[in-house]
Amino acid sequence: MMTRRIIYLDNAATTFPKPEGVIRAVEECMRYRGGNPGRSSHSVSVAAAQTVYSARAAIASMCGAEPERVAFTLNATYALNLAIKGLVRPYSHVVISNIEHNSVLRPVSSLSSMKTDYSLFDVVGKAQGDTEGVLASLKSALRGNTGAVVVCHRSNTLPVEAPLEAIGELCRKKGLTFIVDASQSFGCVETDIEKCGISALCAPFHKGLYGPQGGGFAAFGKSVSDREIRTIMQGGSGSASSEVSMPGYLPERLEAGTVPTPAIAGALAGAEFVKRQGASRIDRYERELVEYMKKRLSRFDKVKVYFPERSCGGILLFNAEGFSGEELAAALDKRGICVRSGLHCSPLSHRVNNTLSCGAVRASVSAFNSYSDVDAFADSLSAVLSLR
Amino acid sequence: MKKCYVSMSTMTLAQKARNILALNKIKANVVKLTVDQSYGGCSWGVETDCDDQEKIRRILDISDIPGYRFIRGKE
Repeated sequence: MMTRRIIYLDNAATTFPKPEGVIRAVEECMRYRGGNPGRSSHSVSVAAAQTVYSARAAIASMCGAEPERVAFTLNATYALNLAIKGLVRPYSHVVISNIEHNSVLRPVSSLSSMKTDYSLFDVVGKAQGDTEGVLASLKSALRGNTGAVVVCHRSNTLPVEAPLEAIGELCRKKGLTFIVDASQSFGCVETDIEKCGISALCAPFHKGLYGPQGGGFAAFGKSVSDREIRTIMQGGSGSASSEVSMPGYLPERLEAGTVPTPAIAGALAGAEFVKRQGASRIDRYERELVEYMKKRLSRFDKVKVYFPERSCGGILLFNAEGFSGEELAAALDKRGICVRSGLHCSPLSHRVNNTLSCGAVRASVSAFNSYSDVDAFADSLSAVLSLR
Repeated sequence: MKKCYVSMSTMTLAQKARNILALNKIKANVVKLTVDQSYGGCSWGVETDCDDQEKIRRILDISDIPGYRFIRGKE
């Protein structure tokens, strides 16, 4: 059978391909350690529980948390819902950045049912590294009843990174809960949740951790007490079973029902892959690829790259004169190039970028992409542009 | 050897305790406690040598393992 060569440049949606070790770990888990972790005392269940604990410890060590303060969820959106709805109080006010993904905007917006509203602050700044401007905007958005700040560490559309340490310091001084969406940064940027004053950091397995889809986590800082987090799901936890409420201790308090053990086994292997490669090394490589991509695209008069002067993460957002984003993505797909068009579930960032009405095309790289992938993408784009 | 059980309430804390004790050269196995040994029904703990009890207590206190308690086992 003939197989077409695919150049996958949609890694901000999910990284692909996955490391061989991740695929093996998932298979081995399903073959040999397929018990329900933390439920039974037999060897297959205990083996599964050991895998789950090892994954907690590996993820915890990547963000300066304690293993038992890493709660596994079904994805990053679930983790953010858990952190936001578990920590934000009724009749309060939340501040979120002006480029948040719907995984933050929608749960925060839903808090209106408990009389909690929200405001936006500018995390883009006048230029890359404009921490003072970002902090000034955040301070001006705070109110007397503000209880929490929620921010994405890195945008999924724009080359923007939030100054976590500075925001965390301000939150600490003001006694605010600080929730971070690390979906686009975990595995690329080393973040210490205690040093940054983070109350909860949320991320999926399937992006920078190179794990499978179907899992994510929320890592809680020491400033948050276990019982302070309200549960949003209740059910079996394998402990305190005669009680009608969830256990008081993390992480079981937040893990109602069976956790996705095969995905967790894959995430453990993904964490080991990232550790071997080095998060900062992966980040540097992805930036270099994007810089090269910008250089190649700068030769096309019809192409507009957004925020070309900034360098942050493995994403590049662009449009081309005379084409809708969907037309471009479809034409590139016919040539084996996978990119994503539309609003990327982030209408706020497209509003900032003045692309809310038309959307844009995003190309995003991973550790598995190469310079020749970028060349193939640029050549294909050139061919598509020449059609009109 | 007399066996003692240290109740940890959750599987995660039992695993953490087992790993910390292993780093301190104390052998401990993760076990599911009987319902009558458990607070609130099912709970987890580690099985250890009773002679190590004081040392284990010091290690678990330093390691911030919350809510543990010793349960005397059988000879």
